[in-house]
Amino acid sequence: MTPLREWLAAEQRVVIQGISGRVARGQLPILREAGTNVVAGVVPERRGDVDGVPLFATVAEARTATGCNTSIVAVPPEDVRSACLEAIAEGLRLVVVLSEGVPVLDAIAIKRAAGGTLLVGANTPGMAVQGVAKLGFMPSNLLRPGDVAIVSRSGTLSYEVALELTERGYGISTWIGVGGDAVPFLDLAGAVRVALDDPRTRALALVGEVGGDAEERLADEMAGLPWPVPVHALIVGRGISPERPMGHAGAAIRGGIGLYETKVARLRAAGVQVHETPWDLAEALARSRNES
Amino acid sequence: MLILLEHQAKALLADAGIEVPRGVLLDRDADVSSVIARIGPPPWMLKAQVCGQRRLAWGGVVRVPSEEELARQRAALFERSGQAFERVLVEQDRPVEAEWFCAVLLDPASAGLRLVLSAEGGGAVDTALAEGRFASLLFDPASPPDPARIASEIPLAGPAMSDTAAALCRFAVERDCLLIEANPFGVDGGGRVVVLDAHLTVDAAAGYRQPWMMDFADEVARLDPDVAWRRRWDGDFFVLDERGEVAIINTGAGSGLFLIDELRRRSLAPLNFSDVRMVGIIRQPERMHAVVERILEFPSARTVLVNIHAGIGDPLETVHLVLAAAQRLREARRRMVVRIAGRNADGAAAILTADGFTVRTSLRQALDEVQAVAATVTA
Repeated sequence: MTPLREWLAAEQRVVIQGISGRVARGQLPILREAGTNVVAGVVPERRGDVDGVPLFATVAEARTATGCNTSIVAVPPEDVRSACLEAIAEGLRLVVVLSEGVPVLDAIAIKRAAGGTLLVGANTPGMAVQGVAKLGFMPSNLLRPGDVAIVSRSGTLSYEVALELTERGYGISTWIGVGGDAVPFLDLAGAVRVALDDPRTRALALVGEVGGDAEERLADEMAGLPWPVPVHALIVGRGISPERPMGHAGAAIRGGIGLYETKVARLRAAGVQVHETPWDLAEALARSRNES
Repeated sequence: MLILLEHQAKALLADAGIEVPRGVLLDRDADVSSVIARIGPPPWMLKAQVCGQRRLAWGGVVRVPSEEELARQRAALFERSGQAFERVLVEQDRPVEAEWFCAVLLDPASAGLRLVLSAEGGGAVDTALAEGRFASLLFDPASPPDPARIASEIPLAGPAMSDTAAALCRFAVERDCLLIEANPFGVDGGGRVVVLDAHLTVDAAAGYRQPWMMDFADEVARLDPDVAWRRRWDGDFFVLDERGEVAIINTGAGSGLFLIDELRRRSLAPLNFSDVRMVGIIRQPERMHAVVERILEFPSARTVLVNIHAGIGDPLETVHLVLAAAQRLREARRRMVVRIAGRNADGAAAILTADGFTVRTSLRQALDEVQAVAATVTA
């Protein structure tokens, strides 16, 4: 399949589901300024346009009229499931779900239905392929062109990493926020694959946190394999015990997974340099770039 | 996520046709004379209705052999607990032939739910699970396993256990559960499978389609200040250390975790974890005032770090709230360090600067300043 950067550059036609909401409407001019080709909005009960973007009742209508192939979902949480299933049914290649508060069983249903659609989110600042498309609300001043990919479980912490990189003269290739929900549509390992698939990526900044097993699964996937680029990680939550909502069974099945120490040890064993602050990460990344 | 009290969990299970001991809720002073009529003769189990799962450790579960003992044991429970709880659950004592363990829990990596079953429940469960003496079955919530599938894939279950396990799987889906733990459960003298103790964690995000959650959350919130905060204000504010010297007002969960890490790395004690959520503050301006007043409940928190890195929100829309917070903290003689970055940060900073506050754009510099200010306060 064509790498996302090339595909978005050549073919992106973006529909915003929930475009009349406060968040989407506020971000629309910022997305356009970043080069995103917004061709349609979906609001079931409205017609007309939002700031010049034509409105449709369904994704199917929007697709027929505009050929949209990418969606930003910014609908209330109770509508995310139907919105995503609609986008998947229409065969959209990429769906980025910004909405937060999506019920877990809805997230599972969406993820299981994804098929060939690349889903990102939910509860994420989105993703950006710098210079081609911004599909989220990460600060535009941090989207300077460059060759460092950011993959993060935390929105605000990825901003801090991007800021530190920017201040040292580094820019972004691909930035993916996988989101903070229990069942992310695209997990950390999947997001890393997408980021490394960007031909501009020459280094990877990874932002993780305690809880869940995303970092451990990424480390397992990469164990014994050479990273194509240097990878620097920031893992936070050292002083916090991850919540133990999964009880006896969860603790037994996961066996220490989710703890700060486990994540750091697994990532280091997989060849990742792990740091404690955004500035430590940026400085180390800069050093490694200078050395190479 | 919402962790239910035991009596709430059992009410839901009973409503779904899953056998639980008959029980009655009593508050501190309720008359106990009707208990026999309501649940049958003793012995009974007396259980404090507290949040969390550490109840056994402080004696929050007591076997009561007679009606005479009930009022006395209840009073003793309230007396010695040191825990926040309002009511006790008095239940039939239903011995089972063998104590089993059953859980249905979210399996994020597989995007499904997982049934876990062990023949060694009760107090033995941790060891049994750690040593692998359990069986499990992953399922798609869209098609929970029926008893035949469970009996086929987990032969140790047998027909009766499989029926109950299947009912728990259906229940997990119907009620948006993230975790059900039935421990112990087993076959009683009458040949019926009964769940003797149950922990339920439910998905609060599904509250809009599970209206019972609201009432249950209200009761949990009365016992757990963190839940109360989230219910009232939507954002998160957890007190980590009541003697903490640095309070945090922050947007973003990940950066909130980082601030705690970094303050501790600098040998400072953070008071709290905070994710007040920028967009939420715009919709609900009084949330910022509530955060400040909560901080002022803790006299040791002499230094307050405000950290806003705007992505989706616009600091210009909230700067008047930050300014009001700063003024209130200044009146209360708390030292405040403000850091604002992101969209329109300069404009927001200018407004605060005009009122005599210094605003940092670098988080590192803000933390350096917090460290310096905290040292001054301590000295």
